[in-house]
Amino acid sequence: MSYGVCFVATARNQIARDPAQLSPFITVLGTNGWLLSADEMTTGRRAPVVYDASRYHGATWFGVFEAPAWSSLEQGLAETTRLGWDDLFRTVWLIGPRDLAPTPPTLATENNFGFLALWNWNDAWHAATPEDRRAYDADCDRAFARDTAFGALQAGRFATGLLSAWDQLALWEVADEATLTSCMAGHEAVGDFQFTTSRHLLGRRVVLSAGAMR
Amino acid sequence: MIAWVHQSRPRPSWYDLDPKNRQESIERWEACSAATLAAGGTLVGTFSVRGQSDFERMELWTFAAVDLLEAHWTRLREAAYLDFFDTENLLGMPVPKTAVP
Repeated sequence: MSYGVCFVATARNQIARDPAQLSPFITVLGTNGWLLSADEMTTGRRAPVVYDASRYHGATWFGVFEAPAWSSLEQGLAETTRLGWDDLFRTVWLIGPRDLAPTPPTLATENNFGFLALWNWNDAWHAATPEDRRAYDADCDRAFARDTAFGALQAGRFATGLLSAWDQLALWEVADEATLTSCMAGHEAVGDFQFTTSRHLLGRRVVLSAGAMR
Repeated sequence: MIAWVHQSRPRPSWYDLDPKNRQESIERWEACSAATLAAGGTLVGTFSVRGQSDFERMELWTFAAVDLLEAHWTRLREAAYLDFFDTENLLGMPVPKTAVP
């Protein structure tokens, strides 16, 4: 079983705002077999990616990686700690098994933005009947198909409830803010958020190069 | 070994249950924990945290491997535990010997 590893990292100092600082960590995680971007999860193409959230949020960087097994997850996180990640960033880590495969877009766009959705199924969802939930899922699927037609790359879903404060997380890449706004309008229209408490983060896509070990 | 901190508080649906249904539910979830203990999980203790957190209860568990924890969570989900309790969980990973906080 593979595990998603999401981080929302706030720079502790000016140096930690330089994406080059992330490269040594990317290198060791890659060595441990981790997939380091939505691209790597869907196409296998080597392209480590993080998202610069600093213009939208207090956090500096976020990203979602995928470790192929628990042992490589533990090893990767331990090495990240050893290399001094915590000297650079204050971080929320979210870990969870993959529970939905990626959905490639049906429209080719240049996706320059990352969108991270964290959500909890709320009291209303937990009180809903199986029929209500099935109808809700079908409504949301219509919105997801619309997102895909707008060029959104959906890197799948991870079940983080077991290990964190959030039940689920999902990572998308979209062309721009306007596209994301259109996608969200579609989800609002089908009532997606009636059953969730959600937190959404937006960031500019930054492709990293593997760097020397520190 | 991993540690697992499980915090929980009742959802509105829990307060709507009559005493008989509550008791049956509690027995169903206790059976889940019993199965996890039988499988090798360790429940260090169950604690009240109502006075100093957003939650009511806290359980501290340790597991030799993550699959024991995943099986525990699956049993609880299948027993509708999450439909009556809102939860927040925390994973504790081993600290590398060389790490200095």
